[in-house]
Amino acid sequence: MPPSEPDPAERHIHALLRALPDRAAPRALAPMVLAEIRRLDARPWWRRPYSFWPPALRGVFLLLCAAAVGALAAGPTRLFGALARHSESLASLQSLGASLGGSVRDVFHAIPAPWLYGAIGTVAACYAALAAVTALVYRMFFHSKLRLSRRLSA
Amino acid sequence: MSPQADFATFMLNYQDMVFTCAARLLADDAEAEDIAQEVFLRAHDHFRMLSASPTAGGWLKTVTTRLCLNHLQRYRGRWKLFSELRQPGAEGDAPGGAAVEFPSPDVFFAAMDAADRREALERALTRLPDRQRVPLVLFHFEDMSYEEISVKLGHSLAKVKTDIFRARAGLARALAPISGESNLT
Repeated sequence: MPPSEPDPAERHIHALLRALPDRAAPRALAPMVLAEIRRLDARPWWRRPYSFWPPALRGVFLLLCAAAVGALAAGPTRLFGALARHSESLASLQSLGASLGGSVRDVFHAIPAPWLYGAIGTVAACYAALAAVTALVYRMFFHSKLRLSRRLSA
Repeated sequence: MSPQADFATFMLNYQDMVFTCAARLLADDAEAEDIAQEVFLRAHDHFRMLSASPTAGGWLKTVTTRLCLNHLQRYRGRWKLFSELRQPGAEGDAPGGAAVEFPSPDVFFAAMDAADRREALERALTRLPDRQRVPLVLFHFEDMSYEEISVKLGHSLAKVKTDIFRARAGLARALAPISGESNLT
């Protein structure tokens, strides 16, 4: 609270709140944290955060990342083309993929625009209806019970 | 002493503070316990630095506050549709911002012992809506200014001031039946 605050209401509520002692943490908290730490420490290195990996493996990983970035920068199409030149099967796979892509594009273009907008609208309406029904069911059967039990325990 | 034992001692020293900070921001003990656990797991990752730092308490409070605000904004915000549709006129809202006067703390709970006083205040805090309780806790417990709270919560300065004012009024109304109506208005 700023010391220059002149409002007495603020001063009083501040004094009341600041006089509150800390609440006692649940007894289970410390054992729970320590058990979780033990569980995390028992993990093999590849399931730990990068900063906990052995230094040699971190170096190897960095090299691999650099190689991957280099490969991506070289261009996947160029890479694929170069591979396709050396392999008949890859070339046929490439042409199959291209023809499939073309077919999908043709089918998509053949759908009339109103149908497309109608389908998108229907999906959005179904999503909204599902959210509304779920909210209604939750509020009717679960949330009211939760609030009642909180009120009773208060 | 082993590092594990050191950390256990460190945790015992700070667990009440972390849990209290989270419980006041979230108003839910189970969620506060989860947040406290997460805070100490992060503290364990930085324990080498924290064990020698005189500002370890501040670090823990900062992390706790940030995790709680993230939790409120990301997780609990998603469930608002399901649980808090009835926003206007909810508990703690003071339509028109009617002025509420507070007596001095000495008079406020004259008839109550310390334990009752603490329980009444904690309960009243818990019952405030999130949008009022969070800025109130940040202002009065975490010593943040209105401007800092405004930035932290992403709300306008005017909204932060109004919410804190309404939170104080809500506290006064909630405590009125306990401390006597004549003391409060």
